[in-house]
Parts: sequence; structure tokens; C-alpha cells
Amino acid sequence: MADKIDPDIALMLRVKEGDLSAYEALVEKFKQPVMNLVYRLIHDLDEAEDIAQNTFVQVWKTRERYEPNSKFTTWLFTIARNLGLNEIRRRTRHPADSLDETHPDNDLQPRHVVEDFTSPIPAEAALNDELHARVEEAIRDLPEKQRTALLLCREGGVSYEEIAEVLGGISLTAVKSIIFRGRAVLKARLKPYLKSGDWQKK
Amino acid sequence: MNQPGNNEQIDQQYSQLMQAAMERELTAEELARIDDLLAQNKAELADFEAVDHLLAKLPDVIVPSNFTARVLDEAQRQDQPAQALDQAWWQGLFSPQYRSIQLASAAAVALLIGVFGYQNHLDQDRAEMAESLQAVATIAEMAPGLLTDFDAIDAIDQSDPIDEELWAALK
Repeated sequence: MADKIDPDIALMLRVKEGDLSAYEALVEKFKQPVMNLVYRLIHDLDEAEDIAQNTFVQVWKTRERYEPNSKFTTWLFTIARNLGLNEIRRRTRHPADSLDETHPDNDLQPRHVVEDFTSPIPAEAALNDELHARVEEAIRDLPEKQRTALLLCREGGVSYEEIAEVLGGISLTAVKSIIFRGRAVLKARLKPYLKSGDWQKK
Repeated sequence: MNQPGNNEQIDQQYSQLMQAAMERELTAEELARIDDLLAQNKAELADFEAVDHLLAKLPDVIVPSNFTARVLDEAQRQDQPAQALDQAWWQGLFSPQYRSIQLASAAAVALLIGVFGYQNHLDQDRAEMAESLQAVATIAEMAPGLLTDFDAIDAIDQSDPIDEELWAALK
């Protein structure tokens, strides 16, 4: 029985031949997870847009070197993470560009995310907003590897093996340990909300 | 059914592993043990599930509606400079933006030509000198008598005016 080729790899192999419509299909499919990852890595919407765009442009520029050894998303998220890390390093070298200016600690409104219009009661919506903001804040405070691992876990279909590759080829046990530690930290940070059962109203 | 003492032991083990998880990377055995302990601790398990739920329900970040179009434009734009460069890369070297490089290159070429020309001239002089010396040496070898009176003839050139008057009187 012939092995079925992964549809993303099939698209990427067409991109490798210069097929712009296949490239467009990949961008359409993965722009949301890439934006989610990059924004939550650097917490700056404008920069996140640029980095997400550069991630896909990088895919196009290096298409001829693509080898279908692993899943397409492994390659894509690795590029996105590396570009995000470059931005974090750049900001570390130039603290004047601090992200805090655009995301003050006392700002609980998740301004850069899609609003949830399914909540019928305003008070509940406000509670949701606060909860989202707290979760975003807790994620932002995690060390980068824990943050990236948890965010990739959040995106459906990203396996531990893939996460290990994206994080620079670490072991599977290391990935599990990083993810467990990240979840434990979030649990501790969000304990008041978990105990009150607010999260269940979402 | 778990005994109270047994529960205490489980809690203690769990706390120790949680502490270890915060300090270092856990081993595969420790991770498996945590899974076992969590299965027996419904409250803790529920909290972890709640965290997973919150993560999963995080709202998506807004992606601009023209995102894909912008990416495609940029990707195509990236291809264009490479094509233009292939067509006439050398023409760009003559553009005004490289004026200083052009002047420096011209000066360097002129200097090289000058150095090469001067070196060539020196080489030519040396060759001519060697050729003359060779000719004199050959004559001296063939007829040594020719150079016998050379010192006297040479002394005539170096003689002072009084000698010239004496010479005229003698004549």
C-alpha cells in the first residue's frame, strides 16, 4: 500500500517548484497559528505581524532548500520561533524599545485578540476578558521554552516530537518536563480563578 | 481504599516531585510517577485540566485581512531584485550611488599602471646597462692593448688649464 503524503508537505513540494497558489494556500492555512505563537512570544501586535509575514517570506525564499524530512509545521514554527527570538534579543539589547510600553501591567483588556461575541451577559464578558488577560499575563511571564512549548501544544496537531525539534532538537523527556513545569506554574498563577470555577463559565 | 497514612505519603511524594519539577528537568520515571500520583489526586488533576482548558480557549490573535496579500506581494518582490541582478549586475556598478567607489577604483588603476610603467622602465635601463658592460668586456678580452693608453687619455680630460697652455706652447 502506498504511503499517503502529508497534504502540507505536498503543498510545500509544489511551492518548491515555484507554485504561488500552493504558497498562498499554506499562508492561508497557517497564518493564524503563526500569529498566535509569535504574538504571545513577543507581545507586540505590530512586530508580531511583521515577524509572521517574514516567517512566510522566509519559507518562500528558502523553498528550494526544503526537504520533506519532517512535518511542514515543524519547519514553519522553527522559523517563526527563531525570528521571534531574534526580536526578543534585539529588544534586550535596546531596552528603549521595551514591549511594556505597549502592554502596561495594569491593562487587563486583551486588546489584541478576537473578542468573544458569544457571551450574552456583559458581566460575564467582563469576567472573561479579565480571565483572558490573566492567562495572557501568566503565559507572558513564563520562560521562553515553556511558553513556546505550551503554545505549540495549544495548536492542535503539534506533537511532542515536533515541539522537541522546534525547541532545537531537545529530548522528548525534556519536552514533557518543560510542558509539565509550564502547566504547574500556570496552575499556581491562576489558582484563584481555577478554584472559583470561573474558567468553567467560558 | 487508601489509608490516611498512605494518602499522606502520596501527598508528600507529589510535593517532592512538584518541587523537583520547578528546580530541574524531570526524568521519564519521575514524569510517569507524577502521572500516577495525579490519577489518584482528583483535585490536582482537575486544576491541570482547567489550565489546559484555559489555554485551549485563549482567543485567537487578530490577523489583518490583507495579511496573505501582503505576504504574496513581499514574496514576489523578493524574487524581482534577484532577476534584475542576473540581467545586468555590472550596470549597477556605474550608477551614481557608487561614485566614491568608482573614483577610488580609477585612482587604484592609475596607480597600478604608473607603478607597472616605472618598473618596466627600470628593467629596460638595467638591461641596456648590462648589454653595454657585456660589449666593453668583450672588447677588452679580444684586444687588451686597446685599453693600455686609456689612463693617459683619461688624464687629458682631467688636466687643468696650465697644462693646456703648456701643450699649446709645445705645439
